[in-house]
Amino acid sequence: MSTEHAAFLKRLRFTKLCIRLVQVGLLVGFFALWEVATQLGWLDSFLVSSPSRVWSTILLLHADGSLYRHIAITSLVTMVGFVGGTVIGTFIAALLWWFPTLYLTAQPFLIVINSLPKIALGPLFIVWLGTGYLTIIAIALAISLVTTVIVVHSGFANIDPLKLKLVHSFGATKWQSFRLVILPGSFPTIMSALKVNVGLSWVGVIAGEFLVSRAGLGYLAVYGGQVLNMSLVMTSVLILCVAAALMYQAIVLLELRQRGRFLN
Amino acid sequence: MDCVVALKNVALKYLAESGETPALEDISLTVKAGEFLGIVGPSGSGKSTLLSIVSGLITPTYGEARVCGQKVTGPKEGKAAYMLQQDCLLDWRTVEGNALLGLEIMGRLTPESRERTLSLLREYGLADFAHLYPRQLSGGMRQRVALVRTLATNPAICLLDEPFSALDYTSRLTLQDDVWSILRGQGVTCILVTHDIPEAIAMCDRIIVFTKRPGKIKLELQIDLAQEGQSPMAKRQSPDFRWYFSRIWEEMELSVDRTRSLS
Repeated sequence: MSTEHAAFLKRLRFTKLCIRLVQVGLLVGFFALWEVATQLGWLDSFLVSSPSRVWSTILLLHADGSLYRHIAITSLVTMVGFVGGTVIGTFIAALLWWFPTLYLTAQPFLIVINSLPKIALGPLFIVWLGTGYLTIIAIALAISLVTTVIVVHSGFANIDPLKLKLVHSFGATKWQSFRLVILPGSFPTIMSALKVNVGLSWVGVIAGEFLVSRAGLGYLAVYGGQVLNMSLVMTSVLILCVAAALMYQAIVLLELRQRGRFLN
Repeated sequence: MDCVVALKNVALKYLAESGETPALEDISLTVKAGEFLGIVGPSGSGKSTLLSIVSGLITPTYGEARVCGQKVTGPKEGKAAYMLQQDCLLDWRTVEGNALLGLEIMGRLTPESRERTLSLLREYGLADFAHLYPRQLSGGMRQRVALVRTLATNPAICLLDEPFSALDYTSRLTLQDDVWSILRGQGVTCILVTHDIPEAIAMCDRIIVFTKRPGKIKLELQIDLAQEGQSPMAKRQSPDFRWYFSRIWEEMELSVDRTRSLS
């Protein structure tokens, strides 16, 4: 390695290190400032809670085991909504690709449904499906499904027409061109739909839990708000942050692993 | 192979909401077995459409196309294989996977056909790259993989639709030589569509010049440059090369001028 290159790499590593340090510093600083501000009475800890109170709330919930129940329930329902939204959405997108007339027919309805705030359907789901998890899943699905359909379908429709011409010239059936070109070629689009869906599923599930549930992180936040226990609300929000970030990271890892197959 | 392409009074109209566009009008031509036919003409003169008709991707509005004496009804029979503007290699398949694509689609992937394809890859210097992915190859190598994919199905005719237009000048000249000698070596009948006149002269035995849309045959020209078996690069050095060029250029220019005066 030349000295110039070594110096370049050193500078690069230094910049990366600085960024990482500032990131950690911001995080630690935020919590420290929050704690100090409430300790010194700059902020009312009854209204904004404090890191130490959040921590003791976590320990409390940990002691009676309900912490893990709430996390598990919300994560599970989110996963169901997420996987369901992606699989069903991709399937519908495939149907719309397969039958272009169906797509043309459905297009205006898709646009209307897509612009509808799905939370408005909550009361319907409650009446139809009861005040259980089905309603929460239905809201999560309603939020992520239409977006998935539209994004994935546009991915299918934007495949290089020359590649399709090529497989057609070999006499490919519609199923063959879907399996060999359309679906694998839309992999990046489907992945970005997945990333959006993770976020949407959390929104749907928390909104659903606000409406109906008796357990879960959304329930914890609403309940905490009702009894003016802000530590409970903050705890729920912080755990949600971590859980959502972990799930997003899992998708990124999945994408990298799948892409690894492409890149060898 | 005594296989011949025969088009008889072929015409095609593209139909759209905004109206109909005649793309080809009254095309009759034949291609002899092992012949290398070039089609040149202004853009939009229906050159690519003609290839689509021969391959069976498009059914002509009038007239009929025959390949090996049989009427073309669809791409199913797999007698014609394409080489397109871009290599169209699938990024998620290895070089080997891409080369076998046609056989796989046609349901003709057997140990023998696979071995034949692998030996084609070996023959054209791609054996060491068989397990790499397309993005790891250079543009010229990618086009060679595309050529192996085309030849793997053992087609009676090879349809080359501006196969070198996406390449830089140097790789284009090199690849013209490579592709020409490979196709000649396999004895495949070829139709080359291009707007690059020197390319057509260097590679083809016979050239057909199309008029502007709707495409009609304007000129048919036998290319007799030096002795049989000379590479396209060698043909470019031939003293008669210029004569052919200006002859075709004249026809092309005339057809452009005429439309200019019309508009």
